[in-house]
Amino acid sequence: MKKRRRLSPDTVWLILALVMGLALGRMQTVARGNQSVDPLTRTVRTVYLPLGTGLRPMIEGPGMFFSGIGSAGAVAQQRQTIAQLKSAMELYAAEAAEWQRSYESLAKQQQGPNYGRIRVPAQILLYSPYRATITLSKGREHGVVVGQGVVADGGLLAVVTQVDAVRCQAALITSNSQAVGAALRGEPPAVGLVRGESSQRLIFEYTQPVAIKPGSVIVTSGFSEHIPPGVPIGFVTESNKDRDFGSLRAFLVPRAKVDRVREAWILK
Amino acid sequence: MNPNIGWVLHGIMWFLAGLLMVAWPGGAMLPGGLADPLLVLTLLIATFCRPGQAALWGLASGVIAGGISGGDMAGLCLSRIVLAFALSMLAQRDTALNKVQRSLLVGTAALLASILLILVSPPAELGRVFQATLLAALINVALAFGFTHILQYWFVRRVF
Repeated sequence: MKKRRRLSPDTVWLILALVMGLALGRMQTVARGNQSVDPLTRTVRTVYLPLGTGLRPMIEGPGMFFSGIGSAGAVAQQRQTIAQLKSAMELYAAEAAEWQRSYESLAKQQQGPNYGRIRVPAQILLYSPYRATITLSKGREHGVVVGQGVVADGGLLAVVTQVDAVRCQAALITSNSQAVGAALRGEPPAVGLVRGESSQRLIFEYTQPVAIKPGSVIVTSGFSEHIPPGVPIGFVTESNKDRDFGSLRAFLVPRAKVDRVREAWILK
Repeated sequence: MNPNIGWVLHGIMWFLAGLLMVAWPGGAMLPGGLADPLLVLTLLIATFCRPGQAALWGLASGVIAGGISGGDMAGLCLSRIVLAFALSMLAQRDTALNKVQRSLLVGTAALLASILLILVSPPAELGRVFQATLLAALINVALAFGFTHILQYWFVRRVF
């Protein structure tokens, strides 16, 4: 008679463990098939995930500290690069603002009146504050001649005084060597000459005994071969009568200011 | 030391090893390899207890690892049960294992567990996983050496 061999407790535990492992695996597979998580996995995660996640900064912290020391050089270099980029960006923004201003000025001038003349756009190449002159990028080849008016910023800026083939020079109306025929806009009429006193002030000398109020606009008179009438020159700030010489004077603030413009229009 | 205290301490350490898997996900442990402190501790405790108990430790380890990582629970459980059981049988046969021998044995078993897992459910990037597994084996041997030091102090040797 064959003697029946009994399984040892260890083997029984092994078999039990294997069966349980398979059963748990099956449970996991079934749950995944139903697009859910089996209860055992959920329990394990409920216990371990919050605790482990809370523990993570404590473990990663020292690592990050030493890693930070190791990469300090690179960080300093990055900081320097960022500073350079920042200054480049600021420079770019300033240039962009300048271009925007220039564009707006051009657009404004483009839409401005032509006073019955052909407007030749020109770039201001040079500005001499001491001689109160500007050099423009258009010359004889573009039909520019001496005596033509230069407008910018909504008013008369200068008068052409020298011309060569591709450039010309113009005296600003603020120059004391420059005189332009001018008139008071509106009634009663007052005609005279405007000449420069300083870079910020003009003098309008006229002969008709009319009272000119502050704020009145003085425009070109048109008694000139090249400068058309009606181009604004400036605004009256005050007027007085010189008893000694019998002349009448008004002081103006020029409408066009050279430090505000980069481009101008020559009235051909 | 009282073996019961040893078991409690081991239980705590085993739980912390599971937490470490969440707090310090594999790759962050050491560059190149995925250390598995839970597996190392499970296999190590198997060398201190009876094969039946070792199988249960293997089952519990598979459940925890599978639950945390969302991996194939059956594969993890079976590979760990079989290895823990075999390791316990081996250790029972040779009662005079020193620390280095025990660490190497556990490291080799951990490597076998990984290879078994690869065989049970082959990953997409087999070459890369295999390379990481070999590096992980070295890390696991080092871990096992440290843990052996502690556990040998707690359990002296087999306590059951």
